[in-house]
Amino acid sequence: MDLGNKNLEEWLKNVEPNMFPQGKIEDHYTHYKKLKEHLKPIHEEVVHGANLKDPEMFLNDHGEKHIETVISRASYLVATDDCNLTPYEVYLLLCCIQIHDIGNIFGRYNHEKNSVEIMKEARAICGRDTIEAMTIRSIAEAHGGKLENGNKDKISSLSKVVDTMYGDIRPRLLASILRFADELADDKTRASSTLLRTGKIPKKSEVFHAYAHCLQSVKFEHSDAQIKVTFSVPDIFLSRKFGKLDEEVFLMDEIYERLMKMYYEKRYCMRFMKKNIDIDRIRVHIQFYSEEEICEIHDKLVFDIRDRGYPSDTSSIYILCPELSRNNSRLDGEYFNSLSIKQNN
Amino acid sequence: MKSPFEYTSPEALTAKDIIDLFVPYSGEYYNVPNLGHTFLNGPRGSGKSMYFRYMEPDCQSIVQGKEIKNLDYLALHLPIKEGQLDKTDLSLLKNKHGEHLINEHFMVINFSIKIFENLSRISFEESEENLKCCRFFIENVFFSLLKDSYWDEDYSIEGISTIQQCFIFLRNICKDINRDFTRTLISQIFLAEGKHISYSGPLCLFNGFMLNFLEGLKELPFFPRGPIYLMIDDADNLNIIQTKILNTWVSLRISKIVSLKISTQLRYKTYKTINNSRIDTPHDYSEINISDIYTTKKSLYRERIKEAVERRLRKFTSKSNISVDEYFPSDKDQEKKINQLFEEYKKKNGGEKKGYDFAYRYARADFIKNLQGNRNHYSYAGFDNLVNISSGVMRHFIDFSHRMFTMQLSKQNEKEEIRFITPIVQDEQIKEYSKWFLEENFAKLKEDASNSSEELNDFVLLRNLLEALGQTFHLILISDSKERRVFSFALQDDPNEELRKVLKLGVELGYFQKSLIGNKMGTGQAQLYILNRLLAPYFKLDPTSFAGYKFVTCQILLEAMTKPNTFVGRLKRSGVNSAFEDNQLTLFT
Repeated sequence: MDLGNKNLEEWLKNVEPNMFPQGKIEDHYTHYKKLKEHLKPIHEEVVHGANLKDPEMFLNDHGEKHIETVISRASYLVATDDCNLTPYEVYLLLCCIQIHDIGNIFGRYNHEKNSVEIMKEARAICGRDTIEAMTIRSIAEAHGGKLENGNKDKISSLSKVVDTMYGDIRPRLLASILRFADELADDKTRASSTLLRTGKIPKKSEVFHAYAHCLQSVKFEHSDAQIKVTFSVPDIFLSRKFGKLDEEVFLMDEIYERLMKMYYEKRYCMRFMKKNIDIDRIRVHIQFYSEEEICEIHDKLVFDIRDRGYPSDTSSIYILCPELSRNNSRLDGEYFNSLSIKQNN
Repeated sequence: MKSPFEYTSPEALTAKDIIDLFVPYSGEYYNVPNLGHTFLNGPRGSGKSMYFRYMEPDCQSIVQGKEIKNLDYLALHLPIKEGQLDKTDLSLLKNKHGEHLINEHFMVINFSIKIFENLSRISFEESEENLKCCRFFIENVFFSLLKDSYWDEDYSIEGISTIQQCFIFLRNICKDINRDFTRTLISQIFLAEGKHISYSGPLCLFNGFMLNFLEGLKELPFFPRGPIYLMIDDADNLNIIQTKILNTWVSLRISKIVSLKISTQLRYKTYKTINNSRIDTPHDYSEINISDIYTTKKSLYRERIKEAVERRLRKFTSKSNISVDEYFPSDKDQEKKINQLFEEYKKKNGGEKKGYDFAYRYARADFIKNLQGNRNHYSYAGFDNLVNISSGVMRHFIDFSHRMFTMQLSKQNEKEEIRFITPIVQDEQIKEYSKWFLEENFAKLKEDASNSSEELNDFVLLRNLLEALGQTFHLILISDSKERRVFSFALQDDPNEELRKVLKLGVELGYFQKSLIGNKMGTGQAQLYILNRLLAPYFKLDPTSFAGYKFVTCQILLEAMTKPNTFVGRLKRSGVNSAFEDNQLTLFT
């Protein structure tokens, strides 16, 4: 969709009348703005609340700035010719972005579900009826966590297309945009860099701030079907380990791990986005510099994370197809051989 | 004097009655109580509800010899009556705002009412500790789920002093929600006149409400450690969206918390989910088709009926040792004559081994044929005959046996116990029942004012087809054809839409059973339709054989459907295997 250099919020404010299904013009922006205003003080408290609940953790920013970054990432993601969200879908997506991390005020665990409390308060403003509120909630909850049966594939539990009074919406598409935009929304502005450098960050959270500090930019290059991620790593961060929950790790290892997570999230979300948004690879640039001498040290690392070559045969059919396992036994040759012998006897 | 065959709905029977009367299925039915979702498909009266009743905790406590908390599973019966969930009002939401969510909420709340009602009737162990845990569950789990579902009413558990009261309390909350839903939404739907409407009431969904409270219930110390089974009975009575919602639940891997045991009467609307993907067997669910058992393992069915009848006789009469053959004796005179003919044919056609097959094929058929104008005097009395006529549906056997008993009682001193049902009474009643099954049953279906003109037309076509086939099979029986005991037909080619609809209706109403056989070319399978043997007395057919079938073209069936009298008239004049005007067309090949 052509956002005309605006982000989704700005676009929603001034939607062309011909964008509305069947020409029915609705003022979704006003409703969205009311929700945003209502949640503003809560966003300001989000990190404080989470840290109060879990004093050994110190989350990086999950407040208003983070919300703005997610909106920005989502805006870049959807700016393709094949992705045409309706005004109502944009409204829903923005509402989901506003509330997706609110549950942090109750503590990190199950945070994507705790937003229910806040949503209920906001229901008078957002979620003009229960159907809409439930839709927003289910999409927002799909940005992380697991289902009741422990499965991480929450987006598949959403409907593909749903009828609403404002036109059809695509919950899976919206959830995958939110999820991937959130994944890409770490950057320097999220880190408490000063506290990190002065050693004031609780040990368990050090590496998260270090990572965010080094992430310079995330750019979308739709013409090449790629996302470009740039890191700048100071030398002092290379020569030490950082605390990560109950262990200590090198920053480069954390960067690689997070890039792999980004790659898996891309693969996962692409399943639901591919008709509308095509991202084939993540191009990574990592620069190393000396803070003292303000110059580059080591060669820059440039690499692509994408599917390569012939698919690996290390992933077994029993993992890809859980229906081929029953009661902890695989339905393999040995199984059918035993079955055949039993039947013949 | 109480009839040993009087039908009582399984829900009304006590656990002891069920244990006394119910004959557990053998074979694949033993898989029903296993973990995982299951579909149990069978015509009305084939015993599905009875099986579900048998699985309920009061019966299983006796069967397994265990207390409730030690049972292997906890099965809860959720019957769906016609029109209960498939409300006309809700159909007005088709393709409208919130259609799926609103239908799911309606299903979940009604199921929840039933779940808590069932739980309130179970004899859980009452103790201080158990009550404390139950109250904790209500205040900390259930109330929280209600708030999450946008139901903001406040409730207090003051005054609740037993576990039973806890479940009644929970049931009443769900009833409040249902009442509110009916009052607010349903009234709006009509006023909306087809437009989208806003809905601001609660939304209790499977994920986020029902599954969560079931998981919470399983943690209670007095609950069985094993899985919960929700036995959804007669799922054909859901509308299409509700069916898709149920299928979506089936597609979830939730068997550790709850397994869905779903019974259908062969009219299940779709196996698609709300996302239009299909659920499939075996990886989403296992499937048991009761009519398959009858068509493929006839002896098993006979054994079941035998045991069921003997149990009823033991329970309701003083006859603890009477055999079913003694209680339902055949017409001895008729059987003697048929046996004589049988021996004669055996001798004339190669003796014991070679002649047996010939005698088996033709003795009874020729006996009927030789009755000529007296074919109405052919008697269908005898336990084996009645088993065959019941066509795999236990309920038919029980129903016509009850009529026989009542008639027999009227012919003798009421105080005198009935020692057996005379062949005359059996024969008379089974012929009446057969006539009822075709004529009165059909008339009732046609009179149902809710049928559309298209549905009425389908009923007429089906009636024509049954009439034509029944008379044709009778003509074959009394002909000189090689195979005379024909009860089934197989399609030689693919049916058009009209024929397909009528055959499907015939299966749903129980007039046909559907199966598969190898096609004539040996390259695949063809659809086989077996006429319900309940129609044997009406059309004067021999119900004892299973094997006889003929291939038939769809064009011929269409003709039989639209002009049955002309069709049968031609066969009578020219013989069943004669060619038609176009020599390339034959009826049966």
